[in-house]
Amino acid sequence: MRPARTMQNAIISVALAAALGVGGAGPAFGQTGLIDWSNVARALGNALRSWRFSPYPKPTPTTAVAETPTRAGTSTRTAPPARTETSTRVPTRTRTPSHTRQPTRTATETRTATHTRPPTRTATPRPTSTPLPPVTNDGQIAFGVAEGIPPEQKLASAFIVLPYIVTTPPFNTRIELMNMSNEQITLQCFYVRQSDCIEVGFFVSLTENQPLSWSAYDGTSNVLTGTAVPPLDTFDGFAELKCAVDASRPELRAHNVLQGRALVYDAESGETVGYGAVGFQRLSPGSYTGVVDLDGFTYESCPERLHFLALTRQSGVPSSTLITVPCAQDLLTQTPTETVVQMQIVNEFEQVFSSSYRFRCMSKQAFSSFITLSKSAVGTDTVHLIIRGVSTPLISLIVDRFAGQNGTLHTTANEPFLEGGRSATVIFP
Amino acid sequence: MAAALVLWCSQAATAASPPQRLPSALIIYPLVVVEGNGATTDTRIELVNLSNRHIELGCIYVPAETCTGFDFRVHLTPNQPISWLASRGTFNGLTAVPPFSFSGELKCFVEPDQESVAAHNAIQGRAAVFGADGQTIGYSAVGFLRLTDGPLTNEIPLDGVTYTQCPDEQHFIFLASDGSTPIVPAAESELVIAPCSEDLENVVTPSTVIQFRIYNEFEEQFSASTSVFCSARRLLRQLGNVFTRPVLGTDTGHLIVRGVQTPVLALVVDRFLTPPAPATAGNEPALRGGRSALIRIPRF
Repeated sequence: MRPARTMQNAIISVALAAALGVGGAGPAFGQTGLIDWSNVARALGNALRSWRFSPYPKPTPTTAVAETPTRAGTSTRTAPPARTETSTRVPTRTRTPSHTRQPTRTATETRTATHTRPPTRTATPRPTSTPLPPVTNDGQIAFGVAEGIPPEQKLASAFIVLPYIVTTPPFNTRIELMNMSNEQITLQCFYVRQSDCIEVGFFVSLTENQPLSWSAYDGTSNVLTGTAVPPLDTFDGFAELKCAVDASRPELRAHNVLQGRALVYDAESGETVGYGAVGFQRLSPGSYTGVVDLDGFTYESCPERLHFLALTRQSGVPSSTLITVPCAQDLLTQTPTETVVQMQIVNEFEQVFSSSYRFRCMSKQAFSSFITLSKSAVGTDTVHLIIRGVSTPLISLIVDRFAGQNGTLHTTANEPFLEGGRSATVIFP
Repeated sequence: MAAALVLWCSQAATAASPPQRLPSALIIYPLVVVEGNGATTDTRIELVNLSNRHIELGCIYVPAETCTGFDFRVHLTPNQPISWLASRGTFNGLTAVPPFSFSGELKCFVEPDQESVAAHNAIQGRAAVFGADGQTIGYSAVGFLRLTDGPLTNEIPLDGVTYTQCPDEQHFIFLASDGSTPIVPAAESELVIAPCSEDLENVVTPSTVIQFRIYNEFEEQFSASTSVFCSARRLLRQLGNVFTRPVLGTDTGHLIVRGVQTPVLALVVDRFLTPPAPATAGNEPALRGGRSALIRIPRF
């Protein structure tokens, strides 16, 4: 290799000397005929190439002719990968699919257009074995782009979920429902217990615009409307409540009529958590079958990812709590849903941490279970917490606890922002 | 007025409500409270960038009494959360939030470097109002999505074309007051009203009549109304005795709030007594229908 390089240098030296001897180099000379620079360059190139590749089949001379020295230099420079990198970075803008949603939202007719969709949903296998959406971010869920459309919140809905109901003394929960339509409606509701996913079902009738609230511990009954809510005095731990509108007519406006909220309070400490139900609108007309397909066609999809603004755990303050329930649930066969929950935590310096845990049925995790949610580890007061269920989408809620003036303990519900959509099915018995 | 109320009762709102809990281009916090320079009551304001790009926000505090704005800017790196106490403000790099010593509202809007809808719809926020007496009101900011590509101008039309509309009706489930006298404010639920339309460039104070329709659990119907200049906080009992259990007749009521001259944003603060302390919680409305509004921000 060394002799070859020496020879190479010698040839370059000879060529340069010849050029200087002519009295200067310039493109004009190559054309005027004093010296044929293109031939010199070609010879130089061939020599270099032949030395470099001598043991191998030579490159075709034509390519050597084609690349004049200067061209060769620029060509390697003109295609800087940096360019292609920036162009591949642009796709972050293609995450704008979220705005293609806007038109569909404003024009609800486009949604309804999907009624033609075959009602094969009853035949499709229930639990969400939906393929995981592609994560194009080196495994960091915080920086991916979730596909699908999340459920629009705070609107009259056909199916609602209250993920956090506690009736273990001294806690109790006041459940509040309201009919947002001008006609009487019937709801099919189920409490689902955390410990074993056993459900307790009941029906609620609401006259037009009627509000209704009851203490979950005591239940309620109304012989005139046929509403009878059983007491949850024997439920340990906590539970969730799912209610679907059993519409009397197939039209959408007969389905999307319901909203609700819950107030969980501690009768001893006064700690109160009030939150709104997660609502799913019906998107295509049809009768209620007891199978709630949250697939983006029949009903809105479940959110793919949930974004929380959470306060980190501080020493001396009771821990905040993360509550997660699965979106998909088969109450007909009593098959508890099990999934891993991925958590991505971004602090105020944009540093990223992650954690995960597995749960069955539903889960209540104290922030103290995760070092990545403590201020001492994360370094900032606030974090951006992103959670995602692996085998099923989730519904979640945080109970924020923090110290206020003079160390007073404050508690409040922290509802998530939603991103993307993923299919799930809830099957009622 | 009676005819208008009857007409309103008989017609359903038809335009689209702004869907909530999605990455938005404009967010409004209807309740920011600072009392006693934060020693009595303070508010923690939280913002998050839900996008993968740097964003810049323009924000305006609007005191309830004057309806004049205090502007500041917030820079957020991709996915960055930020929070500050309203009484103290914050300073961090290019972000400088002044301390706020009033009560009022806060508006923040994305100033995108591109005109695409995705560049606009990037933020969400929430706030926790907390007092030395232990009361805590947590709520999410009301979000408005950008619907069409384009630059941010000093006019933000919430018209259902450029941005989502303001809600026409806001539906609450509220707990009736026990009606005892004298009134104990710590045990009385409260209604917060903030205007949807606002001219902060010309400092024109919006005023509107607010109509209330109330249903009890027996489907019996009541109504009330009040006037609001700029933004307001009123105990429900101050709006009428229909919000008390002896008059309403049931524990829970269905309250529908609607602004007459301009749409409004509303929030109920639920309060009820438990043995050791008053229990408090933010009560966000369900939205129905949409109405156009215009926010004009100062131009520099």
